Amino acid sequence: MTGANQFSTFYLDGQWFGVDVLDVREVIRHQEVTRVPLAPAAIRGLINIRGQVVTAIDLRHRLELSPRNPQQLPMNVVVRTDDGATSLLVDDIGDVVRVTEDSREAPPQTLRGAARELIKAVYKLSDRLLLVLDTEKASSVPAGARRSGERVD
Amino acid sequence: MTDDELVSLVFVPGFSTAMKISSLSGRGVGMDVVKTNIEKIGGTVDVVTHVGRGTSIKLKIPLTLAIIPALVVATRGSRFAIPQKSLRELVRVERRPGENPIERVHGVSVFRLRNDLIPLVHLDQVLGLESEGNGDGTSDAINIVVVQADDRQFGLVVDQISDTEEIVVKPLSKQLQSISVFAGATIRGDGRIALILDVVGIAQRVGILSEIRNWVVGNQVAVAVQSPEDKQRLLLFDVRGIGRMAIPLPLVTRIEEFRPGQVEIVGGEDVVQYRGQAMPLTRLNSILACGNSTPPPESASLHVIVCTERGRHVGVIIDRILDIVEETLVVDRPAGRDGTRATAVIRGKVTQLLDPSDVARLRGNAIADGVEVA
Repeated sequence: MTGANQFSTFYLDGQWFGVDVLDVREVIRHQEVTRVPLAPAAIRGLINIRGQVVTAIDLRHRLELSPRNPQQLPMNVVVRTDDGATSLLVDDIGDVVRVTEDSREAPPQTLRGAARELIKAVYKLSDRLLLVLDTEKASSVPAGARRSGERVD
Repeated sequence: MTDDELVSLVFVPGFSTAMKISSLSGRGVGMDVVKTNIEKIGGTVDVVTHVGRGTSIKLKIPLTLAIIPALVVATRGSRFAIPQKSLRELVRVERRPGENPIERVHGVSVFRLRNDLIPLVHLDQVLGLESEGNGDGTSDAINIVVVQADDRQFGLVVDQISDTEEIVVKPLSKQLQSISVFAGATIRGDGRIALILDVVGIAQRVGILSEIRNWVVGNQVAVAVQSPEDKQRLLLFDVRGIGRMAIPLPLVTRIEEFRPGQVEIVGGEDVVQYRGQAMPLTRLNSILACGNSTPPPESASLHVIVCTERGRHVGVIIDRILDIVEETLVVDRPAGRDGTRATAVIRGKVTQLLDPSDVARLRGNAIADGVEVA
């Protein structure tokens, strides 16, 4: 059994997602986020993890899902990337699951937009589907993304 | 083996000259730890030693981990740090009913700073924060941070000015580095993060750069026509028993305020602890041969001009800051040998001048009194 088949899972808008467990540095509770004005809207801001300034990306926004209920505090899945650590904001944390290679399927071709780009594979589990994200792509925001606070005029 | 190679042996793990080792010391680990950690953050360690003369150890640490002094400001509930090197001055303007200190030129806010017109930039507008929290529209004063971007000055309007702090600069991730108005981030004492503003980036973003350039060119032409002499920036202040005085602004490092309780007496001289040094405080009456010293009321806080000579701070106690002026200095009466100061007429009033030699003398006094302690 290789690490590539173990996924750290989490929930977003009722769907079940996962990233390679080897990419995950830590999972922590909600942290206070310092907003970065003028940043792309998917970047929620900066969090302080034991003295390290880490960029937090809202995966709901990144995947073009509906915005989170403001009362629901997101959890942080901190992943290692080429650009240092990045925190992915998710609704809730699931287990680390082990899946077999033969349950892997390519994502449906009918996916559109960011989901098509980010979802790397779909694993069929007995009762549900696990959508596995490309960690590097999920934790970066395209440069041309709309900036929050950018005026239209 | 060259001398340099020999010296670098102290960094080898396990290298020790100790006769006895304990569980804590003498194991030859310390310098290795220093070198590894400094190199991990991209710095270097250099050791130069001369037998019988001493050893100097140089640590070079990259700027991204450097500690810089910065001013913390707030706008719309968010805090930002402005590096001290970009700061020129802070202006607080009271709002009076029926009077607006901010004027408009074709939709652009401007402010009369003494004789100059400087463009104003509202920080909340530049950062797209207008819709958040309460702005400064209701408060009774306007806080303007006058900053310098290259050769141009402009005023940054903020809601609140907090304090200066020594901050550790942390770089932003690559995806945020393209936002030119931020130079980095810092973690403050309470664990919260504040973004560090890049003044040049703000000037470029608001696009008033070209307008400022026109103004600067205009000003320079005007100055050139009026007076070919060099203008000097002077800090005007008032000292009880002496009167109005001026000191060239480049000689002033900082203006600070101390509580009388912070003053300690060392070797018969007043000293305060300032930035890790013992800084001697001088009352001007004691070095200037004029007037009698009237001690200030005990309860009042001390206003101190901090001057720096070769890395050492010297404090001069004054009573009141009057203004900062830009003037062509015409000395009416040069300094006399009996200790009288040079005088000049500044803004229509006779003013005594404090010059570099006075500052050097202040420092000399401090050393003579044995205050120079490491």
